[in-house]
Amino acid sequence: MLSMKKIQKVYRTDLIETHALHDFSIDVRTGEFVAVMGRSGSGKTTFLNIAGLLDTFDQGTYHLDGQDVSRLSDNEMSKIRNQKIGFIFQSFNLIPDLDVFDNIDVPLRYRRLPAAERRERIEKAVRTVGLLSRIHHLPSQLSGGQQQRVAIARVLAGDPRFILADEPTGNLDTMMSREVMDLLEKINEAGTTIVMVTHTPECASRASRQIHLLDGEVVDLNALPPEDADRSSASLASTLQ
Amino acid sequence: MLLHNLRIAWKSLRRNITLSILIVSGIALGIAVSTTFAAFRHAFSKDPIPQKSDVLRYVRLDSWDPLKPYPGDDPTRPPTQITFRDMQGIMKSTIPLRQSGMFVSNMYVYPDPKVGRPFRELTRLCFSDFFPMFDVPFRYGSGWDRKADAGPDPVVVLSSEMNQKLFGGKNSVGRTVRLADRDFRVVGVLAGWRPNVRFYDLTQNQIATPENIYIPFNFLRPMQIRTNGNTDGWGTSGAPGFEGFLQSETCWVQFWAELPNEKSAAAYRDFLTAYVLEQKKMGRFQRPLNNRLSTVSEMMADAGVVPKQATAMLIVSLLFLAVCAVNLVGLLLGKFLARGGEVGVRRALGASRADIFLQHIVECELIAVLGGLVGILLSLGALAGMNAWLKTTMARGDFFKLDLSMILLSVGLSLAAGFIAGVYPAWRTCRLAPAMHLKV
Amino acid sequence: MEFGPILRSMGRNKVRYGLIVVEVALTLAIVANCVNMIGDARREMARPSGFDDDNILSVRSAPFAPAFKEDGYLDAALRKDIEVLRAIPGVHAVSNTRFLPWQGGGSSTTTRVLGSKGEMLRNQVYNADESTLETLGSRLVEGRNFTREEVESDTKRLREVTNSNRPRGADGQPIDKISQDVIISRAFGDLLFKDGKSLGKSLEDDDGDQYRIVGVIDHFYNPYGWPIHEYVMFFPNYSRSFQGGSAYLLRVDPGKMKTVRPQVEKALLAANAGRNVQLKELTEIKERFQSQSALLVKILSLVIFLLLFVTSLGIVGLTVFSVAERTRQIGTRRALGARKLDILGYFLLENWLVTTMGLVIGVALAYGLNVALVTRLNGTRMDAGLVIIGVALLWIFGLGATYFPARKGAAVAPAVATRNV
Repeated sequence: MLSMKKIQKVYRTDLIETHALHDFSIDVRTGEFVAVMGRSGSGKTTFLNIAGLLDTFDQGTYHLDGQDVSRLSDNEMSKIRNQKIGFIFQSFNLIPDLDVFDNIDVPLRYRRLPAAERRERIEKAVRTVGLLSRIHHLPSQLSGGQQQRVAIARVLAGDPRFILADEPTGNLDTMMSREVMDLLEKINEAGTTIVMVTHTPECASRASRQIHLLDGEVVDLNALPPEDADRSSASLASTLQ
Repeated sequence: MLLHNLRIAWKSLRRNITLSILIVSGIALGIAVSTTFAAFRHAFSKDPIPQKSDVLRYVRLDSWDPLKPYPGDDPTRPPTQITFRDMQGIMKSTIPLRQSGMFVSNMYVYPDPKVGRPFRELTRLCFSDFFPMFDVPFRYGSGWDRKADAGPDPVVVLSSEMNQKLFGGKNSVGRTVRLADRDFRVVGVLAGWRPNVRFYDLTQNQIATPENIYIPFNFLRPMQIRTNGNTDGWGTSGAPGFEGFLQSETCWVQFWAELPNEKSAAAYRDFLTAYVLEQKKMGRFQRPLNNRLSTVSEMMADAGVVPKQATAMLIVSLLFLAVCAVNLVGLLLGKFLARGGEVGVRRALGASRADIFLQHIVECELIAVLGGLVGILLSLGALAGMNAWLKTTMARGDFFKLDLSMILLSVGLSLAAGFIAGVYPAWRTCRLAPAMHLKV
Repeated sequence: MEFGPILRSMGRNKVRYGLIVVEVALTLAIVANCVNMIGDARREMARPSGFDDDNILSVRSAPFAPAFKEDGYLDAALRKDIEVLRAIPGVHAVSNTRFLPWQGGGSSTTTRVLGSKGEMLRNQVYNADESTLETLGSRLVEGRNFTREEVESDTKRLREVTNSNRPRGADGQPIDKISQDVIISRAFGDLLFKDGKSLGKSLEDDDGDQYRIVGVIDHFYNPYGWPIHEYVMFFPNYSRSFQGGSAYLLRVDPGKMKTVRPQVEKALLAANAGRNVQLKELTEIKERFQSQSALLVKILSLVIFLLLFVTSLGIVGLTVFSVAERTRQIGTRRALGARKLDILGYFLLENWLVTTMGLVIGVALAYGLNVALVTRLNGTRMDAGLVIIGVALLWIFGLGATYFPARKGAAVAPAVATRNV
């Protein structure tokens, strides 16, 4: 489904170069549920941006759903984001002036779907996340968990090939986190590939595979010397508190 | 898609009402000021008789002093009016479809003593062709015929205001009006003839409404009627008495001819040249041949109908609009860039740059159109104020109008201002990197 | 304070600051030119006529009774009118003249220095009687006024001449020339005679008729369609006719206009009811003549006000965004020891720099626009004082518009620096 080979991403300013990703390779098979973990500065966000075609990279190749997406125009990337990828963000990123229905409608409109089909998809997705009674509420009238469910419904309505989730439970309490994770599991079971960036071990444990990032490279935690592994999990723990 | 974008734009405006009011009122002021001054200038400059402005020609002949040109801004211009002798001379031509010499006099009207005391009223002396030539609308009756010109028959045409004053607005055709020492029979009453500029006589009070009384020109001699308009004389004062005045070189008659096509205009031009050359043989017209056959718009330009300040004010007001547009660029830039997060989400969800650009340019246009509507309302108020002012000085309260062309202009200006001001902010917004604004 | 960092920060936001620079520049150009136009209009309006404008009443008698067609009847009516008007308490002087100041026109002729063969010069010309100068409040600086006998005899003489068929020579001019004594304005005298010594000299008109200057008045200004506002010649004559009626000017004692005015029509109609009487105070005529300029001044003032408002709006907007964007930076600065005043000062200085850059460009634009307006329309050149007024106005408005949003910025708590975003 997703295959990155020797990806390199360098951020340049006038004075310094920062290697955000360095010879980064990863393979995610169709139907997998992968958790990507790492502390801040480890390149998680860069990975997410590149994987989601929100950003370009300097070297390497990236195949998505069998298609080489390494060197696409802005418009082509927009189209793939719209049709193949679903995004779930830590802060939900619903558009505040639009109600639930209209928020879910946003990507469908960019896909230029006919009105009747959009309505059908929206209603189905809202039913799936159990918010049919709130379909004309504004985001500000919903709880955090409900907002995240709307964001998930927005993904479902688009019927993407794979979902990128960025700390989907980061802004939620335990109860709501569990609900959201249940929902994601259900979606995964239905066959949609999910890549989730998180630093919550509890969330990561729901995934079928965990990947750890350190300084822009994938590391096998088991291969690290014990004290390093301790230190990284200790810092992870401290971030969580 | 457009409708959807409009809906999004409307929601975006409602999100921050105060900011939106500031933005809209900024552009509204620009539109109000520029529309007001455009309408101000337009009131003077617009064609007062568009259906005939290309067939009507005003005649000027240079019978002025051989030693120096007719005074004025432009020394190549002949006198603005012609002499009575020349009017008689050129009226012999049969080339024009219609033609009329004319002047205005101040005559005494003696109404029924029950109506009021005698009063003076501006009265136009003209030929029968005057009414059909200028498409003058009648409520009752009509103008007089050529036979009445020749008589001259004592017939009179009244404006609707004068008919109101003398006969209470009833159909007065056949009734009698005493002017100076004679009785005139009413043959027609005008139906509110109010061209914006009194184009047929631009020598005085150009934006006054037409006169209230019209009688045949040929009463000039039997009643010894003197003009109340400008008389431009040069050289010797001529023979004494009324006849001496008529035969003098004094210019005081306005003359219009209706020439339905280029061929007749060319023929008429040749006729005037021949006439002047003939007169030169008799010792008159010692200046170089300088006949003018001017259209309504040429006459309006020559007479300086549009006040110079009106043009200056229009320039200033367009610059004002430019300031408002620049202002709008800054405010929109701030507003849009503050919304980076939302744009990032839309981009992540698959919006192309074109989608984002369109969304924001639509929002700019919505702001501009709202501003334009408020601006038009404000400028209606401003024009009403100017009309009120004009009423105190010119007794005319309908001069400044916002006609369809002005409304279209201000809508056009709004859309243009919105687009020009919006292009850069919308472009900047659609170029925002989608990844930059997602983690908030 | 820190010019360098401010300029560098502005350099990173060229467009946003550039917009304000452009806006301020255009605003200065417009404001300076509007102030200039206002100045022109006000100067024109403030120009004194040289007459006692506040206390003059114009009275026009328009006869309709056929009896007025006779010369003898007209003469008697005129004498009677003057007598009746003089008798009204509060009337200082009465004159029969067709001159009416401030109506935007009048009558004119062309004359030149007798025997000069020079160019004919256009000047205003009006009839006057022995009381005209007293009625207008004009001061004779040289020579003498007309006498009553002179006005009467000249009236008779002129009437005979115009009623007769003047025999003309081969040049088309009358063979017998008329000679009249006239009073002119000093400005006209200076135009005619290089040394300004006009008293006793003579002029001639197109007919060869001669005019001997017997008096000079100091100040005369009556706006006219042609540029002859200050050039006038008065000749002795009572003027009245059936067609034209007769025109009088009344000068009342200061403050007596309200009591005199209502009595005039009554007195004249009591003397002879076969006519209409029209009254107008000179102040009304002047106001009407100047109403267009007055309106222009009002409109331009409003435009200036609105423009400054819009530009202030732009500056407020800029500062609000600039503050919002730097909330964290401000917090950090505060944490590092900056006082509120320092933060306020930073924004004020930043704005002052932007405004001043705009003003530098604006001064050039203002002169450019002025040249464009002057060449196309006849305005006047702008003087430097006006530009300075414009600059000062924009500095004040600019700082005012920055102050309020900047104060909000200064109020940012230092704790913002440690807050995680």
